Amino acid sequence: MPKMKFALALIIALTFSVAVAQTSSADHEPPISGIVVGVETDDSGNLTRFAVSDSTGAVNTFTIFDGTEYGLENQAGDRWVSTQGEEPSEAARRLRDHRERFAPITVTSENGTAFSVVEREEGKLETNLGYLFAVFAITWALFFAYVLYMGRKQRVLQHEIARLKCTIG
Amino acid sequence: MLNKVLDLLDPLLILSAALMGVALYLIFVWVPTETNQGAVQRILYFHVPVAWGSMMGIFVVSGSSFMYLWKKNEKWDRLAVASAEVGVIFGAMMLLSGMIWARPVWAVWWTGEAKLTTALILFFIYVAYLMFRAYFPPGTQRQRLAAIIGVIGAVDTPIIYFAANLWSQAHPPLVTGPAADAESALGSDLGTVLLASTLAFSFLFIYMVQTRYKIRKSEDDLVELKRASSASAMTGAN
Amino acid sequence: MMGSLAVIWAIGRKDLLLEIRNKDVVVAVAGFALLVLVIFTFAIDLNQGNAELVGPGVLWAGIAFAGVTGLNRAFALEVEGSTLEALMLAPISRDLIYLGKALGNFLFIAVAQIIVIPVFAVLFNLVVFRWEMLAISLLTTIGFSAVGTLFAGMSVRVRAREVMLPLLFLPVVTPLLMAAVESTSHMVYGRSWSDMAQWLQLAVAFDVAFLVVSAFIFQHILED
Repeated sequence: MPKMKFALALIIALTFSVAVAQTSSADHEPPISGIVVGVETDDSGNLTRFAVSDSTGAVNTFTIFDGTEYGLENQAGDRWVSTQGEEPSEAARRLRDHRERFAPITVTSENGTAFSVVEREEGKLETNLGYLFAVFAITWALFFAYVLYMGRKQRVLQHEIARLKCTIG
Repeated sequence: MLNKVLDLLDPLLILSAALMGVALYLIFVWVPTETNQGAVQRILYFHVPVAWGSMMGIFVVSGSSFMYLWKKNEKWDRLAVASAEVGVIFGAMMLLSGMIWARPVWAVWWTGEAKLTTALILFFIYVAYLMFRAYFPPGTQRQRLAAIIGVIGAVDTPIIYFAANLWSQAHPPLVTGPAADAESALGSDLGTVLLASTLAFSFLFIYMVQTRYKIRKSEDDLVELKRASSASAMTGAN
Repeated sequence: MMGSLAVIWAIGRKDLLLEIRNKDVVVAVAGFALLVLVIFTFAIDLNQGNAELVGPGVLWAGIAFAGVTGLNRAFALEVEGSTLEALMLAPISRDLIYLGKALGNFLFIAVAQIIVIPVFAVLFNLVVFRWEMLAISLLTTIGFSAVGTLFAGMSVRVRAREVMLPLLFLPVVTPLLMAAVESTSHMVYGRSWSDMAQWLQLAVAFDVAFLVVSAFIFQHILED
């Protein structure tokens, strides 16, 4: 039993260390892929700002300018291509649609200003291994805690039964 | 020492451990990484089997509760409490793994979406079932009333599912089961891994229920023995 | 057939007469629900803009919580007077006892709603005096009393009755609560019957399922 407890402690410690190690550093600005979490418009319904949450859960806010290019699909897969200067209110509508569908997009930007906002491009793997590890570590820890609880219960019961059998016999 | 080792050699345990090994190999080495979600997608191979386990738990609880009310046989009650407890553990694992998956992919820990809502409400019903058993004094009345909660939970399940489905549809469509539609059929690699993993967890579930059942049985034996010992003490005093 | 209805009515009327004398349950339910409404108007910073959005949810959450209080109270009265044992001695079948008790609880919650809903209309500035509201309210109250009577009967002998009843009751009635909230919000947005039809059907299915199952199962609660 002490070995199992040790293993349990090890699992929990590892979870934390991996979670701490998951801080990524960005020297230049790579394209950000993620889910639209916020869309802001002005009084006439034109897009002014939007926010994207990437695969590590960090939220990035982007402003836009007239030259910002869009390439966004609707649920049926029809692609709409335009720029902020041409259709600013349609851009807001499309992004809201993506937010509601949890459809991912990819944004290229510089200093927080978006140049292109397109449907999520496939093939770029994210460093979200920490989440996978957290799932296995936490749920297995829960599982082992339950197994330990059952084992202890079993031992106490058997001990008690043996004792009573002695007193009767 | 030898006895302890022999105890571990339960065929069900060996089977589920071996299958778990195969499943882990398939999950982490064999299957390619999914291109859209990255590594987190592998949570699916854990989340779905665990959810399946908790669903089995619900089926067994309601089935054996019904059988208990009908036959009034203790063994159905033991089976019900064993699978309720293991089902709640599996349910907690399901909720946790789902939440951790949702954070990077949906950018939220939780949404008020249909399948999530259904799972959470059912989880609460079976937690209430276990709490009721803990609060109520032991005896046949407790077994009977607990069985009634089990049956009520079963009656409620399709209604909850239907109600929750009338809400929004942010969750990825079900991959198996009655509500799955043809379009969401999984790729063959994914299906293989999911099948292996589900089998492994099914056997683990059965093994755990069996263990819990035995503990419940020894608890009943203990009560019997205590009664016998106090009876013999009385006769000894006379 | 006439005989069964007479028995159900006799048990319901007995509860009602008791209630008219001491007004224990209705005052508890209505008072509690009103307090929930008032507290929510502060908690959510109520204004013209969000009343339609949050109003239905607040109303039904309040009635559900208050209903639990009332059910606890109704069965506590039975325990204090040991009247449940007396009822069991009567030569009538158990499902009729159940339906009679459910009728009593239905009347209590319904009367409490007659007090609560107008206050809700005033506080949230919404138009609720419509046939739709009557239908939603009736269906929801039937469901609440069907499930509530069963669980209250079960929790009577539990150590922590006040805690156990809501833990059992609230998760089980969630689908009904969803139906009530959703169809009420269709109503306050001024939509037609056909928009809320699915939710009303769901509520009907819930009521029928639980009335039938509970009536069958209630004999196991009163056994021994």
